[in-house]
Amino acid sequence: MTAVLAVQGLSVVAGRQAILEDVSLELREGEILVVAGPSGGGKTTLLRTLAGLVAPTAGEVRVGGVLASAARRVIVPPERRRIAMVFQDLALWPHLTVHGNLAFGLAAQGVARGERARRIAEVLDWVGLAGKAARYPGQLSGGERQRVALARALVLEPVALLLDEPLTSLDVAIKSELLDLLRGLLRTRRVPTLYVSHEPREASALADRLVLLEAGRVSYSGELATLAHEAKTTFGRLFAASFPAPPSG
Amino acid sequence: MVVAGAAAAAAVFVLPPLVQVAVRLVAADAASLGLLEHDRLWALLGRSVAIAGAVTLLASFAGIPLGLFFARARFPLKWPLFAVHLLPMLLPPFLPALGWFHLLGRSGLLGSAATSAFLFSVWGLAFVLAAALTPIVTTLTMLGVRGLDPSLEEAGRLAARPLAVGLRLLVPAAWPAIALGAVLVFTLAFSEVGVPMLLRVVVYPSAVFARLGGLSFAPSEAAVLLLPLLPVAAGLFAAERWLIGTRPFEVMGLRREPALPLFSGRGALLACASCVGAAVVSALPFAGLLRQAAGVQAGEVLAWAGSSPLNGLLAGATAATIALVLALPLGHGLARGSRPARLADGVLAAGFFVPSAVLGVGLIAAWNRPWSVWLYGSMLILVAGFVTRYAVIAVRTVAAAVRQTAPSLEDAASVSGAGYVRRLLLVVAPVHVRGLAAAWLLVLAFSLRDLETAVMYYPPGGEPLTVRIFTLEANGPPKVVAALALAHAGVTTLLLAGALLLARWRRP
Repeated sequence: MTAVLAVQGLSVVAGRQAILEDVSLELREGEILVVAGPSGGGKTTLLRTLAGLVAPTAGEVRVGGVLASAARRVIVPPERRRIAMVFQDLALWPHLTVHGNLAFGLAAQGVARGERARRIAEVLDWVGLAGKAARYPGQLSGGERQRVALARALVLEPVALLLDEPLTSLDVAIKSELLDLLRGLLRTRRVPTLYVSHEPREASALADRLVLLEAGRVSYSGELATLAHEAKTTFGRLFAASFPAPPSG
Repeated sequence: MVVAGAAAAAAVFVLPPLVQVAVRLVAADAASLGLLEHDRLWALLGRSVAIAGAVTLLASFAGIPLGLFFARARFPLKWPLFAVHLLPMLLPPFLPALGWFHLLGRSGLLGSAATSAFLFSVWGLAFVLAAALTPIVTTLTMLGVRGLDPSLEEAGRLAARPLAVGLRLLVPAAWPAIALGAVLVFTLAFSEVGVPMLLRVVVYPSAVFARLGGLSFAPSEAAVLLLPLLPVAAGLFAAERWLIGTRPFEVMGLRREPALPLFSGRGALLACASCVGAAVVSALPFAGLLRQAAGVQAGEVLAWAGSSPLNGLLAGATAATIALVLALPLGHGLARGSRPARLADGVLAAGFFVPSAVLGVGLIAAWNRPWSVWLYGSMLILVAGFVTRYAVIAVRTVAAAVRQTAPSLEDAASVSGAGYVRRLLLVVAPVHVRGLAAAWLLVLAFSLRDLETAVMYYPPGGEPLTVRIFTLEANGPPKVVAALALAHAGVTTLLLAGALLLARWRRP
């Protein structure tokens, strides 16, 4: 199976500090790959490098088999990768309405006005925000803003979706509701997704496969089910032990 | 208590001149009010508003893309080019105008009858003022864009080309800063006296200045002549309150920058070419001044300058220090939502946005009294004028710096037992030492560039360098005038260099 995203020997150094060291992984068609790890482990830098927002110091990134980034070079600029991303702080443009936030990327891709309106209405319906297109981000609740960020990514029909801890800082009830929404959307749309999190509950709810990133290095890559036996680090063992128990009966 | 005290002190500087103008207006006699019936007066006012509007449009048209390029493109010598582009902003526009005269005037380096006709016209005036004031829009656009959360730009980069991201996301998101730039340019262009007088284009403020200088000072007539300026001042003040007010304005470069520049390849080339062009336009008038000043003796220049450079520096530095003393509690209070600080900020903003002629006449009316001769007859009147007009800049700068640190720093001091003054002096001030120094330098720079207010009330023998150059221009040796203008630019360059070094300094 062709990898949608493939990373080989990726390193990123900022100043004298290595953020990522020799990371290799791939994201396959239709799968959800969860990248987990402690804070400061390089997860966000990995996503930003995949999106083309950071040039790697060494190694390469391929998007759909095409070389997109190599050592110190961004070969395919971010806007041509067709990768969408939900940022940890959401990065909703405060001066644009919900509709404006979703339309911006479609207009940049040259999608006709009528088609734009149809796709925006459809995606807002998926995320349960139909009727809120005219609101500004500042007029929405935390959970609604999260949905807008997700809708803005999905409306572009990306080849891959990058999610950077999208449920951080939400209360338990909203987090659970959004987790269900995400799982449903990603499964039915079959968008290849790389999901960054440090929450075992989110990983177990979403992941087809799991990569653990610690201090910039991959410490585990494989199925969730085998993590408990194969984890080589304390974080890996603790992470596996924190998976919620399957419902009994 | 401290904030309220500082607010009261701010009011003591700003309110007396404004109240005096209002009182004179109310008491104006019928003969003075008859001045308002002259059609020429209203035509001049319309022309002044139109010229200031054209300057604002030109400066925005050039300054917004330049600000975007300086903020988000990477090319060699970017910061030296920025410094050259910035320099005219920190000088009285009259000095670059003098340089343009030596370049484009009939006997100038590049001069001809056609260039001279252009320069000595409304269009020439708009061009010279736009060239001098564009750096304000450039700088505020750049700071506004650099103050944005980088993920806003990165989210756009995933979907659109750099130019679309710049123009459709970054510029609209940074609009409070850009709008402030436009309002500042309009205010300064509208108040300008020196350039219209040099280029012999009659505008309202210069006509008022000439009239007031030509007759024995008649307070009620002066106030009536200022009346048409008040709606413009009120409009500018309202625009400032509506557009900016106490809006968060974090611009001190403490945010993480996106890892990659927005413009690369051909975009970076375009950015580089535009920024080089802007720097050349800023530098050209100095070439004219250099040519004119060639061969002049230093001793001759010093003799003509007299004590004026020292007067300006002393008055400016004293005003900057007083403004900083006010700005520390007021800027901190403004950042933390204190009501008296907000009120004082509004009062100080009014001092900045009223046209210089109004402020000048108000200062004369308020302080030219027997009991205050110690102030009006000495350098202190210059200090009072500079504080009245420019203290708001210090308050806003300190507020912008304070807003960028979490209140928890002060909370930690508070729970450790530190009272307000101790927190202010031992936590807020040291943490924001860079912001405080920037505020001091900005007020000093604006005081040194001031001509339009100082020229109305400088004490005998106490004129600052700007006024000295302005008065010498009419009847002094042209070589000396050009050399003095270059000396003024030199002092400002040193200040600019200090500010840029400060901007690069990071706390270990």
